[in-house]
Amino acid sequence: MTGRLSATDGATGHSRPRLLLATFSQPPFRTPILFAAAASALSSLFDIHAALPLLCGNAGGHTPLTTIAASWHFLIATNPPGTVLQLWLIMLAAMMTPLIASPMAYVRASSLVARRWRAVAIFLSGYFGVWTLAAVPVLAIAFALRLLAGGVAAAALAACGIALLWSACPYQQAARNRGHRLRRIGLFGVQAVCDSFLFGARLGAWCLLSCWAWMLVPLFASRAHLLAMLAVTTILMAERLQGPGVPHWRIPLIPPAVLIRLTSRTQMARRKA
Amino acid sequence: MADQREDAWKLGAGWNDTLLWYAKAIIALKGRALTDRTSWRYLAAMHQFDQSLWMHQGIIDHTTALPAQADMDVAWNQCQHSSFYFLPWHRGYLARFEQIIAATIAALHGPTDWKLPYWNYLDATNPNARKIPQAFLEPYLPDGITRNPLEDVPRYGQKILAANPQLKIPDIDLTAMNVTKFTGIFSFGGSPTDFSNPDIGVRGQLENVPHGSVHILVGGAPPADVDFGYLSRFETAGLDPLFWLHHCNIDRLWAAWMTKPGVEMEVGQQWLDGPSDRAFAVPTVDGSGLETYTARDTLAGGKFYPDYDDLHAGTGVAALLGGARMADIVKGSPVMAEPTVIGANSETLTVGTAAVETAVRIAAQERTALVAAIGRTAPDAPADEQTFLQLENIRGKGVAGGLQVYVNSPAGADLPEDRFAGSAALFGLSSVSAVDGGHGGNGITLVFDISDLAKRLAAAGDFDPAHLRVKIVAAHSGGDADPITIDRVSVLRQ
Ligand SMILES: [Cu+2]
Repeated sequence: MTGRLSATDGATGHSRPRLLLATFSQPPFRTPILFAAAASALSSLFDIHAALPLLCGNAGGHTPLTTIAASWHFLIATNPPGTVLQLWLIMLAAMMTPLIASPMAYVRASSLVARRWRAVAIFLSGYFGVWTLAAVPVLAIAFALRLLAGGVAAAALAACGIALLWSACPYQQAARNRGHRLRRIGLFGVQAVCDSFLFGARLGAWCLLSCWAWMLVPLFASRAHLLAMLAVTTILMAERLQGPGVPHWRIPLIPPAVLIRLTSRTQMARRKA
Repeated sequence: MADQREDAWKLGAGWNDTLLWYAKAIIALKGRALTDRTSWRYLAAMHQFDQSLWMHQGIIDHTTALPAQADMDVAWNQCQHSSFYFLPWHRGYLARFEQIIAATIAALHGPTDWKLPYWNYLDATNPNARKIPQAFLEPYLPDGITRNPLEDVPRYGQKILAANPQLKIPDIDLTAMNVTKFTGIFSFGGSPTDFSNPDIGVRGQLENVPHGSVHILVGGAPPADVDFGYLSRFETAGLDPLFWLHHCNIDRLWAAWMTKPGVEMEVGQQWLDGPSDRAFAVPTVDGSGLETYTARDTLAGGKFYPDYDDLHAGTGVAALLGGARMADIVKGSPVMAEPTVIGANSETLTVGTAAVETAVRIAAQERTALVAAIGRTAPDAPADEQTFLQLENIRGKGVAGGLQVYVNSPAGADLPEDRFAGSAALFGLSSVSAVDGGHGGNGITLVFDISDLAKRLAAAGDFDPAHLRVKIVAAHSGGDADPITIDRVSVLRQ
């Protein structure tokens, strides 16, 4: 192609949502998103909530505190750890893979062409390894929340509240910032293996710290399970894409650009009045 | 005054109308509150803001009211470095700044057609080119009593641009103008990204030299200078009136590069309309609100497209015959092949004040191809077969400094010129290394083209395809106590 380049080149300009969609349909996002879609399908086939009757079941209603200890034992008996773990990992694969598209691309680009897939696989084992271990505390918090809140709806609401509060808080931003840090990936031998694994594990740890609260939400959404997963993934993706920043208290979910439009409109209105 | 941006040195020695009105407008802008979107400090904070640093430097104090948080989130800390948005973002930033200054001058009953001049430091036809224009050195305005805002800023470096061996920053030149691709790991404009402030970004060659070098050479940095001037940091650069003339010349170099036959300009949707996560923002000229823009607005026909009086003097771009103003641009293919890594060193490097050498091992399966590529003599080697040296994630607590890289230099302190691989002024080092800043904490990644150097080494019989010895010398304010770290030194091939 030759010619002059001008402001009107290549159509009339794309709206940001369309541009974002285009971005996600190209590398490095395309493959992780396809992978996540497959995992979502799998996740809906083997409904995690069917395997976790007390977490999501409608039975029970308000649970008195006196029965919590007994419930604990009942819970563990009715929620076999192996099944729970499997479903937990499928859910994570569906939700987390798109979030780590850029670090994955970094591992790929940092490795010899012949070893790229191996390096990515090792990186993923480190990343999901951390999340596997995290299943214990995160599910424990979920069960505790379910028992304390009484009903599923109340627990879901409480989880949303906790997640919003965590997203607003500067510590969450600090954790997210650390999830953007790149590390050395050795090119040869044992170094290449260890570095890819450690990079994945460290990223997993910071991801866990920044995302744990939002991960509680879909656990309580029995009917709208997939929808909740999608919503939470969208929120986490938006947070990740906002990139690192100076930690401070913020209004969660609403991007600053939207806020500014709202505030300048009120300013204008005030000026007119 | 004219409708076009002009060379500051050609406006008349000492005080001239353009610079005098510039100074008067700055005085007006400095008088405005920080919450005013057209104030001097608000405009500088759009580049980068650091509350504690600004307090420490006396730019603000505890009583200074800040704009609304949302305003700061959208308009401040926007500067795009180490990505292909570097040039278009700064172009829009400059254009709106120019309009705000011009509107202020008009309101002061000055001329109505003020344009931002440029500092044409590489104009070989002008013996004064490398000197800071005189009006920036005068303590007072022509009235003899008003403090000159063009001079009244911390500036501790050179008054005449030259190499600074103490900072390991060589003399500036126009090598970057010879790079043909706008986008890429080794490119004129910077590496591609989908988002603002990418985690992984490589500086474009123009952003490195002369852009970064001039920032540090003029702003100054210890150990060569007593302190850091405003130009030496992202967070204060926009507070030096000279910043805008420097960037105007960088912007002009881009405009000149676009007229070179055969250059591959970026035309991807992502560059034109991105980044995907946000729109770039500037205040409206009256400061009543914010207005968005993208790279598209900085191209011919766009609202921020600049007009320069001359694209040849000091740009290295020859005048075209027949008065043609713009050559046809080869538009780069949307998906560009990037070089792949073929070798790397084995440990993270720590560079204090002493030179550090590291061995870069080339993968066994890549050695034959490497030898074949560099065996060709320069003229008949295909342009797409290139060898690069990459310094990944250079981080440091020191604010700024310089760094030089040599390949296969002999043992001892000697650093022969013919083994020189590349250099960089570490502009923004501490900002881009801070984990809790806006730049991701991944430091600076530099890529140097060592294709010709490798050929020279091979011709001299000093090229082992299994190992390259890379020597790095740096001068930075961290010294030995806070050395810079380099995650990896790698060799790439395309
Ligand atoms: Cu700059």
